[in-house]
Amino acid sequence: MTTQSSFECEQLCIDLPGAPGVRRIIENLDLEVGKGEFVSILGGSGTGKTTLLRALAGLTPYSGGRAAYEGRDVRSPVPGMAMVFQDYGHALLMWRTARRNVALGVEGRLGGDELDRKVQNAIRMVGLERFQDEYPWRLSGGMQQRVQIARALAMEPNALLMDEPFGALDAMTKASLQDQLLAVQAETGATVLFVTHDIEEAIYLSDTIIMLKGSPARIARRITVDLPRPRDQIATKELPEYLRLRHQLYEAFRHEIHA
Amino acid sequence: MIATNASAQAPIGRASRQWALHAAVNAASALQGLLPLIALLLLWQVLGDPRSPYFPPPSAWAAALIERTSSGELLPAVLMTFQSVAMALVVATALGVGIGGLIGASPRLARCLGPTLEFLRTLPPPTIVPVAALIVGVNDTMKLFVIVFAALWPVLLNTTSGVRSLHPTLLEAARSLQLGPLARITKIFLPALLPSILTGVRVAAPLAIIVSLLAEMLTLMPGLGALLLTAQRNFNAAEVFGLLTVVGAFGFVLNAALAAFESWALKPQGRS
Repeated sequence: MTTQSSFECEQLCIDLPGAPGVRRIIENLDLEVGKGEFVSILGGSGTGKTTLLRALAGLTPYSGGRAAYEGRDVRSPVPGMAMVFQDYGHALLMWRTARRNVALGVEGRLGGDELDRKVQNAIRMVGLERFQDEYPWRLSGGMQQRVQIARALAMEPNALLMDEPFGALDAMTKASLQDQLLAVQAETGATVLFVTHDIEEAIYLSDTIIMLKGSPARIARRITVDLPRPRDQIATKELPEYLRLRHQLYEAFRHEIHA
Repeated sequence: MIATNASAQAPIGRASRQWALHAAVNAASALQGLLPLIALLLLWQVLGDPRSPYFPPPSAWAAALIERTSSGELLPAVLMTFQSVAMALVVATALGVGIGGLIGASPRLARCLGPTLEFLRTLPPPTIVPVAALIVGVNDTMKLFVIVFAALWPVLLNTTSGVRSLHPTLLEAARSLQLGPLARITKIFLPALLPSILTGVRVAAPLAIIVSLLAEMLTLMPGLGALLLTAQRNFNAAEVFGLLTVVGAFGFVLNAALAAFESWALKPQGRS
């Protein structure tokens, strides 16, 4: 089983310093994510979704248990993994064009034609060809987020960690980026860990949904999404299975939504 | 493909034209701002008494300056002062960015060095001149030292606060892209800090001019300051006023050059 898994957590505990003292965010969490799987981490705000993702990305230290990527403990960012932040405005370098932002992660070890090829491929995958020589601050939010996703893709990651990447975008841009992400995943076969608080987004994109609840957070539920691929914004969302999952998840979050 | 490329490049071409227009408008408005001064000088010229020993009219200043120029003293003095100021600004920027960057990045270093730097910063630079002259001697090194001592602080403090206000996401993006320390400094930190650094340099430039002139006056080392003091000691009022105009123009041009550089350097960041 271990050769098949991309991410693994065993009894993972994460503490973060806060004003009143150290607070436990995640407690004794077990998780296994298979290679090429699309897993969404779903939960209300402040449940520790982002903290969990950041620990798996090697950006937040954990205090107990184990977090591993491809069998190795994660203590700092690991090659083969790429992170996409929600806050594209601060994650991009505003003084570099879109194309040079995409090159940032690979230009250190590649050069010439190979660099060009990888950058162009990443730009193509997110449909940024027309805007590659533009500065990010001249692009719309959706376009900026595409630049950030392309920057991650240029590194040809085996795993893509995304922290509410579409959280700040309008509904139409969001739908178009969701479809682009699904196409990218189908093309690259990358494992995707996707943090969101949007129930419908989680169902539409994922193979598996991990529901975080409580404080400190635990996995309240693990839901397998058995919807056919490729998915379609209209047809998939009219399937009885989609509606059943939607009902089930809204029911599970009902008290949090009303809170 | 050609069509899409053309449409992508069109806004960039327009942006650079807009920027050039913007710069021209800025220069025009700066000159416009000098109009009251020019009007005052004209008034002085018309109403002033050409034989006044204390308030000679601008034409007398010009005559005095021309005399100093043809005697071969003015131009080398201007160049000397410019050289000192420029070199000191380069050294102060390098030191200020280096030390300021480290202090901004390390709270421990800030605690260790903070009070000492605060003490040094409050020492008036003119009081450093006699001390430095005693220790280093009256030479270019001493002059450079005292100018750097004055010009360092704005760059240092601006860099420190710039580092502290860097957005955490930017630093994490650099970490998660696994950039090495050198790549982080050259590709992330320095460009991100450029606006803060340049603001510091612009504050430092007039200080550098002040201290450079002061050092020249106190030590009579070659430069505009020495020329000015000599003219005063010879009771040559016309030359004093003339040199004052040169000093003013010197500062004005230096500041305008720095402003133009800042606007050019920050253009890609959309902050000019």
